[in-house]
Amino acid sequence: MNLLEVKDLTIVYDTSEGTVHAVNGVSFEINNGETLGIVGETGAGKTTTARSLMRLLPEPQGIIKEGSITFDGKDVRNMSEKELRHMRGFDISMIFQDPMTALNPLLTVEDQIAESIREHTKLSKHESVIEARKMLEKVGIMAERGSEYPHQFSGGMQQRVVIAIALTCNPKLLIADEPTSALDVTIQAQVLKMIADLQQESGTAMILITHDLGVVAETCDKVAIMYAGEIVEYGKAEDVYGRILHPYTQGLFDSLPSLDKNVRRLKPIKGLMPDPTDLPKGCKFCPRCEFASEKCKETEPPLKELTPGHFVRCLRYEKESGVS
Amino acid sequence: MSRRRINDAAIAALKRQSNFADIWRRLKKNKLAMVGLVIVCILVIACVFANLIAPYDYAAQDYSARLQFPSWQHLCGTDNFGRDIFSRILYGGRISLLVSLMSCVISLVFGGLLGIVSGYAGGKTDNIIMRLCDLLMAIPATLLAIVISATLGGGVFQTAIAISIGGIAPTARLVRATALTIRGQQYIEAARAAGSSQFHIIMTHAVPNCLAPIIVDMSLRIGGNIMMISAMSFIGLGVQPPTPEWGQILNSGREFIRNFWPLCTFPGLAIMLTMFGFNVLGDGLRDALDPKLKQ
Amino acid sequence: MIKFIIKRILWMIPIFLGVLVIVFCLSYFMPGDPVQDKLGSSYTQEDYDALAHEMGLDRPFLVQMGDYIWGVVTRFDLGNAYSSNQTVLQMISARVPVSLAIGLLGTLLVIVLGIPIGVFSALKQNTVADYTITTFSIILASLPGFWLALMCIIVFCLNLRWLPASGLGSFKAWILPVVTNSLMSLASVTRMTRSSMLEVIRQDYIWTAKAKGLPSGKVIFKHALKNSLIPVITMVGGQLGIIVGGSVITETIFNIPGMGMLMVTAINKRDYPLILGITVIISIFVMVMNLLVDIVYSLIDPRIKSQFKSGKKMFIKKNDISFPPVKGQGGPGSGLKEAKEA
Repeated sequence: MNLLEVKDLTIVYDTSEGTVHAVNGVSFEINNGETLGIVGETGAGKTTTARSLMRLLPEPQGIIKEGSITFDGKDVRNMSEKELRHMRGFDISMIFQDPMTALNPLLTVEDQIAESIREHTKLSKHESVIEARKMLEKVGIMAERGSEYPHQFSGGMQQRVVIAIALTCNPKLLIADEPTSALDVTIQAQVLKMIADLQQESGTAMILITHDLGVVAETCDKVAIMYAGEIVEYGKAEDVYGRILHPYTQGLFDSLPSLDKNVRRLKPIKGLMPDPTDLPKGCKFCPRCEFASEKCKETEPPLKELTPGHFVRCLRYEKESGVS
Repeated sequence: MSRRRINDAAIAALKRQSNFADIWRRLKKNKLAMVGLVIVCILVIACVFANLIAPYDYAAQDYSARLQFPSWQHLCGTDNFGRDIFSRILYGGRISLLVSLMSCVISLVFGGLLGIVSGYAGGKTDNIIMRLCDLLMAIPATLLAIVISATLGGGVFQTAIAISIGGIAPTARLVRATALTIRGQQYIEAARAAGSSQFHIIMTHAVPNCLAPIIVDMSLRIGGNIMMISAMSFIGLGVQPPTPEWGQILNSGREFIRNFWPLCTFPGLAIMLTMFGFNVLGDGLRDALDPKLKQ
Repeated sequence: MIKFIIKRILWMIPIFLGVLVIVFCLSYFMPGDPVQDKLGSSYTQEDYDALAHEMGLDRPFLVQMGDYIWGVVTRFDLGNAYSSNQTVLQMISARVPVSLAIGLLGTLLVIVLGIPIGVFSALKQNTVADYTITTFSIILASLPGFWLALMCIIVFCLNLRWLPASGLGSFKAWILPVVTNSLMSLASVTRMTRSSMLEVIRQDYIWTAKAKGLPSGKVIFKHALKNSLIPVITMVGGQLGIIVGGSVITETIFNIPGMGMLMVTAINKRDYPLILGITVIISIFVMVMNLLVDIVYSLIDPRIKSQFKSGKKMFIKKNDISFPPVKGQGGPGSGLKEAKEA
């Protein structure tokens, strides 16, 4: 059985300026200890998908309209407030994008870690602080600095604290939402490696949200490419990297600077993502796609399993015989 | 060529920041703010054209009709000299608005100047100016206005000055804070790199960007000042009779509070409505100007 | 912490001296001639000179100012009142407790009612309760205290006869002066608390707290409330001056023998030492209250202390740091930004 199974997840935001279709029928699954990379541009619905797994959508605007989320055999959509609280931080935890704003400026860092421990175990205040300090050492911060406040740490150090908070209860699933994009390039790799090491050590499954295909190649078992709230390509990392199917994925690869190819200019994807309040009828990528035909504008392509475990949402592969 | 281009880029950045059509669009959506705007507009028009609107001369006494309760002849009744209260409120509004506006301008000119110099010069100058502001702010504004008014004596201009002094320090703080955030921004760097002079940078870049928070502050301050003017003439300072002023009409009504309520009700209602208008408009403007809501 | 408080107290000394200088200058240039006032209409030049000399008014300006400041600092001597035979301190001291009580009770009301109502309103955002509170606080924030006082006298004292209209004889008599004097501040603080709270509960660290699995009570009281109080505390500090300044007028209306009423009498009688003395005393009161506000502030926000520690900018105070204007409404539109970013 999979640790997490997401089926046909559809999420909308009701706002005064219209309904935002943030996530449209997303499905994926993760096994224990596995790493899934979700890749896409800003606004593709990655963060919304991730947050919905813990039911942490802004209320009352964010609504899970359809689909199911099954974690460890339990239906997350129908969980009570108490079950949710037990799950958050204990079974699933999350690393946020910007460490500068993810930590409460008025509490010491050890307090912010210990808080999570106290919530999910029966440890006393004192014991939980000791645990918190151990956790700090694990992420490479001296235990004595636990009594300091977030503003006394650098950005990279703050992100380590955020990681310590997320991993302190040994969750079964860790969601890392662009954990390094707010950091200096020089420490991005360092932080990523630390997350990966700690994940290996504890056997935690992970969803890594990023827009960096290189990072995915290094750390992920599976990849899901998201565009305008849909998964356009999904499969094992080696399959996807071995045979790129969707034009959007191809576009993402082409816009990566590469050392081994001698290209004079990078090839960016033309155009912008469609307005999520007013999505096109057919293929969402079709206005930007170089292979687009008339049919693409009309028909919404289904997610097709072309080779075992490798899915793509594109009409170009309509006639190829897939796995049935 | 490069100099021209960088300056153009800087100007474009500025234009993007203060897109008035955008602000107006957001303001229009805020119903409360529009109510405030309507109130303020009606008020300003009524006071400016008081001589056309007022049914009576504000000073015309009619001893046969003293302390009349509101009727169709006298909308708000008459005072102890038989003067029409409604007309007096209209003319009084002129004085209140004028004094309030004058004191705002004085606070703005001096506070703004101090703030820009402080924020832009930094270092010792900054420290000295800010400490002077601390000093001015240690005395409660109402108290300061009362003492200054006692020193300067009554009169429109004197009252405006008395009230404006308390507004200088907060305005200077506000402008300084804005100037500080702007100083580090890239289009200023760009203009500097293009070789613009310091004065030129301040006038064309810092000043327009300070405007947003200052507009908000001013619209809130006009309301607050109107209250302070009334409060002062209420205790016999500030604008002196026979010039009508809201607080002073209120004060004259205290004598008759037992049997004749209109005299101390309507002027206060006018003060409240004015403050409400400016407060709500100011809040609406702040929301409309808030860059965090911009997308 | 103690270092912070000591530094903060030391900083009050130059401010206090500055206040003395400003207030002395103002009173020195006030119109009228106190000597003439005292002598009446018939006097000789010798009488005049003698009295001027006795009052010390024939000395140069700077000497008079220095003498005054020296007197205040060393002996807390605020001089003699012109309008009576008492010293200024004697005249004021009898009245300080009354004004202090009205000011403190008003402040207490603002804190004890304003903050909880604001928090409640924010948590119940877009409900009937929230709309009611918001509407009332917008209206009350535009209601001048002295007019409200007059209206309350008409309604509660003259018509309903529930409360006395003047003096401070009974407990009931305190209600109107304290409430009318602080209601405007109360409304402002309520609004500020609400908008600050709404701003804070959209912050990332609130999501972090929720993601830890904390119950909503803990998220709100441990994480959101403390953060949302930071701008509110600054505002309460500012309202202190408004409450104290307003008491001058409230005391006149309700005939309360406090410093405010004494101030009005002093102005009418042109008793400059008395005006000066009252202003100095009130300023001291406000400065001390602001000191307390700063201490509370530093207890809540660790960032303030480290600014003091860094030494280089010893005198950077909380007021120098600009807070982004807190948005009035975190209404339905606020979700859009998150939605689009998501």
